[in-house]
Amino acid sequence: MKKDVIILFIKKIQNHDLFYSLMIGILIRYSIALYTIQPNDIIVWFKESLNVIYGLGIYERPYFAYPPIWGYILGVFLKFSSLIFNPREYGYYIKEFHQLDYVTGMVSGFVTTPLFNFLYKTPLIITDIIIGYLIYKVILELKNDKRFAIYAFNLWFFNPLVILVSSYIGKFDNILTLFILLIAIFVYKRNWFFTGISLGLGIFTKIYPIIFLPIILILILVEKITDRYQFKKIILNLLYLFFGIFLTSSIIILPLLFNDEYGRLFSPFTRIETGVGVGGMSIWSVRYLTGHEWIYDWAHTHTKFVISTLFKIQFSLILFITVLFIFKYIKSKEKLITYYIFTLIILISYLTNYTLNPPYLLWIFPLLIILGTYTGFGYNSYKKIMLIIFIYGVISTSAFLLAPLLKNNAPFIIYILEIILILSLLIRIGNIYLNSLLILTISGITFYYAIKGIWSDLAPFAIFTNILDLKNIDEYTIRYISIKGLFNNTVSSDIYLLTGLLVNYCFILVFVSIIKYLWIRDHILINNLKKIMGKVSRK
Amino acid sequence: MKNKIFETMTIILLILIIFSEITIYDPLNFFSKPNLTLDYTIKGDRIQVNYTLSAGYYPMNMKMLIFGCYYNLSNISKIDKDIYIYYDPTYQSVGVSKIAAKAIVGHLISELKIRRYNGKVKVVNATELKELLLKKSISNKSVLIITQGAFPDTVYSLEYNLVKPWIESGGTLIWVGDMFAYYSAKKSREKINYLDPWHPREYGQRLFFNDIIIIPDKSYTSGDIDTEYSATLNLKFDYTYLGIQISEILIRNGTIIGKMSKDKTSIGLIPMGKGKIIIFGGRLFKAEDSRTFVEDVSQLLLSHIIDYCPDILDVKSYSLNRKEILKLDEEIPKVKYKSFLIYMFQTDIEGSIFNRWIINDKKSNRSGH
Repeated sequence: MKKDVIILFIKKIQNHDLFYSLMIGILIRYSIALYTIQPNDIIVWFKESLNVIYGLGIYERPYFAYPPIWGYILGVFLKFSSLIFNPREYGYYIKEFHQLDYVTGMVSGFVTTPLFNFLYKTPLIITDIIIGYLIYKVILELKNDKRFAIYAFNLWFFNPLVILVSSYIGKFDNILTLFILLIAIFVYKRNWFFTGISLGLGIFTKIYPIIFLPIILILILVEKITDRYQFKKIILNLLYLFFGIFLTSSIIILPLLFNDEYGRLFSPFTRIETGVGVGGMSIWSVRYLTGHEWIYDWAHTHTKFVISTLFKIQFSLILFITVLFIFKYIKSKEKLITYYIFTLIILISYLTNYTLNPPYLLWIFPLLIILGTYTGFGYNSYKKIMLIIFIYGVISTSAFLLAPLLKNNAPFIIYILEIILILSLLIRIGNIYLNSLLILTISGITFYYAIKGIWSDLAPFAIFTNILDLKNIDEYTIRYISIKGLFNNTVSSDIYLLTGLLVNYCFILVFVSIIKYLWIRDHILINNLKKIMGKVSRK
Repeated sequence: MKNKIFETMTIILLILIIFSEITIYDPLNFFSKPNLTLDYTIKGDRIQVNYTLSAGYYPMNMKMLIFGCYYNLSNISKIDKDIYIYYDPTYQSVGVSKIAAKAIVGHLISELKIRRYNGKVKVVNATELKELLLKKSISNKSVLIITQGAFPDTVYSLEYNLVKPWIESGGTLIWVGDMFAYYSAKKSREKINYLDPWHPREYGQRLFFNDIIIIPDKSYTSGDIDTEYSATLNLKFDYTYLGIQISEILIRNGTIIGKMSKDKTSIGLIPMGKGKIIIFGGRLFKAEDSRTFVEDVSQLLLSHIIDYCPDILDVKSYSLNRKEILKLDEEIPKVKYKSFLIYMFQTDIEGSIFNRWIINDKKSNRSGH
């Protein structure tokens, strides 16, 4: 009987629409995950894991500078795995990298084993699967068309930046993406208790999702106010929301309180003490242009001013969006607006942040996929997007691998890549959301590769297989750093600048497009303002 | 159920978090913890030490060190000095990035707590540092750690030096960052102006040592020759390009603590009056560098090799498998020492098991954690 149930279950999974995509996606991920590391972060995840294994709390040694959720997930995976595997075999210091580390700051002098990489990247790969499945379900509900749901799943699951973040870099931004998606889904469904739980989980992953709280509160108020002033219902919905947040927060904070680790929860706020480092792909990427290096120093010494000004701009823009949203909502009552609003808020945060790293781009990807798929596009567009992403992934990876190998032709290869990046501005496929998804993906992977080249990330490959020599990694990394750029002294500055331009162009394009949808096309705000003015004058 | 997939998923995630917390903080003691116990008996001119090491669910590497102490130390809870960490982000930093300086503070406070250091640990800013250096009466019970590679102008410049008298009266100074006493930092978020004539520069070393004892290497150098201390205490800091010349340490009856390159050491101790200066020979840029610095400082502080117990009498290393229990004994000749310090620590990366005991003639005074 039991056997039959298991066979039936396996058959059910095998017959699922996503089965083959899932298998191929997992295979790609693990083939990358085992032998790649991001030198700066890996040491934190490694040491954090060992601390938990050896009986300490996640904040007892101050490695972990984030809210606790990723620490908990990492901790439980490694603590249980280490009942079977030996934690002494998780990582090693590499003497050969010591000097390179000192000279370039680009390697950590430390390498984790494929076993550790497998263990700590597994929860991140599972998260990728969960997000893909949720996107699939959302599209299935919205469009009731399996074809589009599968397209959407594939757009997420085979996105090279998504794969890069979870399986190559090993960053936990996809966990935050999962919670942002859940918040958006529950707000869309007007399920306030679960909105509260998701919001709590999100805030305790990275503080960032707190940015959604004002709009959620406004929505609760607006929705019921328009329903003949149901104040009781408003209060009840607010209670549901806050109970969800309170419940999650209590669950997360309680062990920290008992273990006297509560103070470290607020460590992200103390960043003001060390000064902000503006840049990444944010609008501050202009600092990478030769002659504009002073921008970084200026922002660093005016940290308080920079942070407070950016916050004011962010707050004003969100206020503007909220007002816009209220008028739109009063008229149409269209629930799908939730996804537009969430996209706008994330865009505002991108445009007003002092830095923007490739993993952050993941936060908006599920929303772009949902809006892009919902807005409609044909099979041909889908095919083209997947093909371009694949071809570009191969081109850029090859370029960064080859450039340091071909000493004299290195700049030539990079220049071609830079020209391809500029030309990507001309791409017009699918609709604006999918087009932006494509450009953001291209920019994100190129930016990441540009930081150090690819070779320094392949240290585990060199150490645990005999195919590559550590000395080569050392040599290629130094060669990569010395390649001159087309506009700047270094390749990386060139690419930071270009990708900064590209992503901000996309942000503004999507932002304007949604605003147009919410405002200009329907003349909502103007009409409603007229109505209000009319009522006021009649009174 | 079909429509509740999102709710189900959220509940599963919440349950996973609860399960993680229970696993990590282990209120039910499911994961048995490692344990160290020690007992001793005095047999004439020898001391018989019996100790038990038991591993928990995870394998571990342990080291046991026995130090001979020239002072009659009675209780482990009383021998640790108070630690003052100079950290003032409003003042300039040299040779230590702001992130690295902040990391020193965070790591040192937590590390000393994990290792059950009994002295007080306090962070002092530039003004508080001045007040501390003026209180010479407590200097022999204090260790001052300079985390920003330069003394602030409240205590040190070409014209005044409050640091040297404090050390001479018994204080211990630990230095890391740029060249020792080369710069005098101002209250500013701007980078230090290296060419400012305000800085004592090379003259700074003469102010302290009447001579030049550090000749910086032009490029990165590290030491790979272990000394007795660096090997037994598992010291990892190996930058030597700003380290003290070995010959100068020997001339001044100092101690080579860290690793050695051909003419320098990564950690060197120079006595000064009743006190001492310990200089780490390299800059700190990343939080990881700070971590190495902090681990080594903690080892120096806990072992007391820099003050009461400089002689290493015995070193034993053990590798324990899961749940393994080792019962061992050791005989120590009393010889010239007034007391002994036994220090056990886990040598695995990020090990969390540390314990110390004091042994002296009066068995009633024995103590440990």
